[in-house]
Amino acid sequence: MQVFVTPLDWSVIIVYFAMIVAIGMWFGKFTRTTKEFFLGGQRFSWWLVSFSCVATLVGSYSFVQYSQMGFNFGFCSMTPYTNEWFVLPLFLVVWLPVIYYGGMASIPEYFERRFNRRTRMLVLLILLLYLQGFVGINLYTIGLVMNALFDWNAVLHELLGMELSENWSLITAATVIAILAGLYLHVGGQTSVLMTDLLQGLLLLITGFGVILLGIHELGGFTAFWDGLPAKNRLPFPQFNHPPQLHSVGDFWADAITGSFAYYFINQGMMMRFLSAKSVHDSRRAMLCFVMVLMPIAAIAVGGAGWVGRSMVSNGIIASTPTGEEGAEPGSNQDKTEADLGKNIFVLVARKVCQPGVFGLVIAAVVAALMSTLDTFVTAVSALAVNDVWRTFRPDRADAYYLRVARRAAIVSTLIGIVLIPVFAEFKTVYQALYALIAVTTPPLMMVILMGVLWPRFTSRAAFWTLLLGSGAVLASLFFPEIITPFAHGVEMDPERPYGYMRSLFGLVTSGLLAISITIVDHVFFGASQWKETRPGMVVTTLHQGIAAFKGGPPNYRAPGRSAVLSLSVTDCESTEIRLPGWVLHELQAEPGDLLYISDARRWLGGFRSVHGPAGPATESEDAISVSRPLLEKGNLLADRPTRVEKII
Amino acid sequence: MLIPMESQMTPWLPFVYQYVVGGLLFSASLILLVRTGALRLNLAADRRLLIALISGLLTFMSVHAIWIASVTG
Repeated sequence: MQVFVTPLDWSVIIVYFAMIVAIGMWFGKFTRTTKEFFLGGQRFSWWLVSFSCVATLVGSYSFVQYSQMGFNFGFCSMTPYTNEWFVLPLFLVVWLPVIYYGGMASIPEYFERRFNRRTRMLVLLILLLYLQGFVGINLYTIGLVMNALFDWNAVLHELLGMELSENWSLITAATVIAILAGLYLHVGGQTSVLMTDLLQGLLLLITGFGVILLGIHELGGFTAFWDGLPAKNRLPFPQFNHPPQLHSVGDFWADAITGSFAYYFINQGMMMRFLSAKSVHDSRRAMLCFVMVLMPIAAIAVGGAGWVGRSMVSNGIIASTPTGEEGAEPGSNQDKTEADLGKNIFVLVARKVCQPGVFGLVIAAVVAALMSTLDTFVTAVSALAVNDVWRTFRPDRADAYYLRVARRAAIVSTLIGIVLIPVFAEFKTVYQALYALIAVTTPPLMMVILMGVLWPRFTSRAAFWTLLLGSGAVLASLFFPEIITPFAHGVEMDPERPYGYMRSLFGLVTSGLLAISITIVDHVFFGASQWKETRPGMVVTTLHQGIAAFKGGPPNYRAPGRSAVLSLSVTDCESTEIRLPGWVLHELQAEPGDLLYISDARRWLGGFRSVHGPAGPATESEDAISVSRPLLEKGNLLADRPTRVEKII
Repeated sequence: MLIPMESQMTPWLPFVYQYVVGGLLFSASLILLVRTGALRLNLAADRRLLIALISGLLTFMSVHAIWIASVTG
């Protein structure tokens, strides 16, 4: 399965990664505070956030996994990327404003503010295990993918003159990538992640579509491609409840509802990405664009090689045995052959269509997929380590101190990820245990968040015990899967992975019942009155109080979306206020005290040169925005460039 | 909750299940958000968000429906 990598391929790979590291490190020099390290200073435009999410979404194994799904089941490989819409109202209208306006730097922080510290610590433990485990899994899979794409061991032998064991081969491949990502991540944090992920996301899409188009060309055109697909592979959904390995009812509950919720509400890395936008309005636009436009495009890019591969097999371009050995009997042991073909289909198609140089781009894209997911998870672990652990035990230190800790935490997280590679390789049970942890804890976490934001009477005691008992119930279903049968919608129990998809529905229902029951018991027998008005913005009914608390005054919702472009006038005072001419205040319908956002007028910068500040009294000047020098420097603004001003709230 | 095996033959069943059950969850969320005041229809930004959410769902639903119809003839 391995392919000879030409010098031209190596040149493409080296140039690409040198460029990514250089760009990441350059942007890193503007990171001076923890807010900038974790959230990029909360200054970026929606399109930059949206595009960078593509790179985070597509992981190192996505091309292999979704191409396999596309090969086996057809266009329904797109389903996981096109069924997110149902959870969007709660995310966009409730969860995002709660976290953004609450000024929270981590998901566990919500659990302390809304409930209590022990609930926060429980959630922190779950998230740390989950995120750190995924750092390790990402590094482990890149080793596997690199060995599948080309003979990494042979490359090492060529360069270092030594033969390595399989584990060391995986570790060295992952370490090279970890060092590349670590170089810019350590320096720049979220800003570097955003900027590099923008480029990596574009490369992923271009490469994915490139392989598909070259494959269709190889097949002789779109008609030959389409005719080569079996009729069942042309449908957008898998069958309703059969086979047990993939069915639409399971996909709906496990992916569309629980998976989407976990990805957007619980995943600290994704939440940090949306918090890096300049406003809640921009976060919402980023999310809408991502789910509506970019995710379906990404679904085609990562799964398309599988569709093309299926058509190539039908047209006899790829042999129907995985290795295509001479004399292999078609039709013998057909199921195994199909499964092996599916596993390797991305590599087979890439090998079939790639010319020297293009194959280098494919390798770069797959590795880019790893780096861009890895950097997001590492930043997230660092954020949890600093905000939820370090600040708790070492409070009241200078921000520069926490920034140093954040950078070190990023390195430590990467190192732990590398250490986990041989553990995952040697002990498959550890790998499986991590996935079991996610399956067990996600439904109760989802229910606790939902109840927490939607039901003011939901108590702290109920939150804690729902997490524990709900996880216990789902854990029990791993050992006694027959308890899921009433929720199974007629899905057969696959002995290898019993009710793998339907477990989430079981978990949601049991956790929901637990949450309601414990809350009622708490109120009736313990006289609980947990909801305190001193916590504005933590539940849906007090959302607007939270916005007012964030701003420090009543929100101004008038004339949204208006902006004006003026020159900058820099003063030598220390004020954080942004002062505008009277006519601009009138145009924006802004008043002194409103939160303003000024940015370099060049929109393509995506808000890189920008800063927030409260509106001051009107200036006497008619054509300039007046800001202090410290504010100018904080926003990386250039005094001689036209500047755009917008009212945020 | 058992679904007869023969019903798997229709390619429309996954579509109907996803958009009826998902649509109910989606609608319940929106109603709750409007009733609690989290989504204020007197604000232009909130109205636009509501329209975007509903339009997005209808777009996905329409694309899936047209897709299935065109494949099954």
